[in-house]
Amino acid sequence: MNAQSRNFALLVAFAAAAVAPDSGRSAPAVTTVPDFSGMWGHPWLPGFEPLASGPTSLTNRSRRNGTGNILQLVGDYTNPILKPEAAATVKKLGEMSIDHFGFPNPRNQCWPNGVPFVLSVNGMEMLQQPDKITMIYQEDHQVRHVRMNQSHPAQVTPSWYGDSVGHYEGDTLVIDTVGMKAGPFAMVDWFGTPQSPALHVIERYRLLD
Amino acid sequence: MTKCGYALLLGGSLSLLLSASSAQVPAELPPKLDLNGWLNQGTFGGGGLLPVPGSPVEFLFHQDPAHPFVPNGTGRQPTYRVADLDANPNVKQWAKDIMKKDNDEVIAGKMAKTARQSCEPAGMPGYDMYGFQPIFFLQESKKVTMIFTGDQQVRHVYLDVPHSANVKPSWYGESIGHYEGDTLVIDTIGLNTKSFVDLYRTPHSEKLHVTERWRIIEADSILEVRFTVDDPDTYYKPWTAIQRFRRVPTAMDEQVCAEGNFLLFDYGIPVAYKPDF
Repeated sequence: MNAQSRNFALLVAFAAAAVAPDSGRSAPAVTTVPDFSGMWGHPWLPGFEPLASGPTSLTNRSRRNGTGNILQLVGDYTNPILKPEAAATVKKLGEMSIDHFGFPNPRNQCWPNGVPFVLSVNGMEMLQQPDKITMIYQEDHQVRHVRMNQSHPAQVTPSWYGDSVGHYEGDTLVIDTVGMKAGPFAMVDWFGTPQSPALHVIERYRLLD
Repeated sequence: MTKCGYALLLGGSLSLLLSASSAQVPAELPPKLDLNGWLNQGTFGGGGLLPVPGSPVEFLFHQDPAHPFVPNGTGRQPTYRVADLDANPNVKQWAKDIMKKDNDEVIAGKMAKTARQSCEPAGMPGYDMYGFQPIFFLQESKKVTMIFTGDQQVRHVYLDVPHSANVKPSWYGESIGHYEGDTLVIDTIGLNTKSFVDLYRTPHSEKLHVTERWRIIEADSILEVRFTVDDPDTYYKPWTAIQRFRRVPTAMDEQVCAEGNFLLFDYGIPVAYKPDF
């Protein structure tokens, strides 16, 4: 049985910020739970789809045929979301990409991708259960576990995928992740945006069709 | 692809019960495997296959008495598994020739390869012999997902569907399953030849066909799998064996094989901490 990917009409919007973990949220009452089961394709390179407006993810400064050049990952280091040190790192890696046909990232070095880098993986399967959600990514057996309607522990032992808790807000699954460790080549996105132990990611999954 | 039911076990049970008027009434409900994790009972004894009562025990490889096996944790110097090749009449000569060469090298000092130490998938039925970390089952109405905690090795078992007409070989092949009363039956084909069949590093062909029968033999505590291995290119006859697992009340944690082995040992796993270009 080959898995059939659903069309990518599942929207995931996420926010990554270096802020204190949000814990202790109580889940609102839910009457129906959206069905996110099955395999979801994400054929978007490289990585995240920027929002049309407002603070959003980096885009590729290297262009080819009018669009981002996947062969050269030069993140827009002028994006105002970046602090100076982060911008300098993105700029340096962009120069490496031009000079050396790429730079190491967790994906091409076969390390766990971490969150949110793993969101760029081409295929993701979500298994929903009342008390937990398991997310299995198509590349290199990467698995995430989301505890539903629970709080983060007071002390989180850092791990590759951190501590994820989730809840439903109507038709939307909200996942809150803290405690990511910065392992080898850890980065937020394909452009090499660095991350710190204060990384905090919130994902919002919603069916568009 | 899968559609999830929230009352997973209940959903499966109901579907069986609702169809009872036109189909055979199941003697038992499907097993509820989605209970914490299941740890291979052979973990701390060095593993090994248990014979199915009444089946030819000589079809299972055993240690060469000239080179005793010492598992980890005994206080003595551990040794590797070296099969007594002459004692198994069921394995074809090409496979024994490969094993003989490998055994000679291991006896001479080479490290014997296992899936876990090399951070490779174990294949089938190697998956059922995984130890030290538990296996978890996620049961849905149309699918069972198995996750071995060690390096998050995942198997996907699609329920009540036939095999594909053409299966592209992979580490865990194509698995289909169904419930027979209290037993989950899994049929797997399409396995690549990168894995070993057992802990004695027996090779196999792409004709390898593994059938598993998973059943809880002690309520909520002991899970047993009886599997049958059929590979006409490697074995003269199909053979069977048993693995048992005990329930462990633990959550599925994160364990990254390459990271752990790099820190504890050095098996030559490719690792790069800084770019070389």
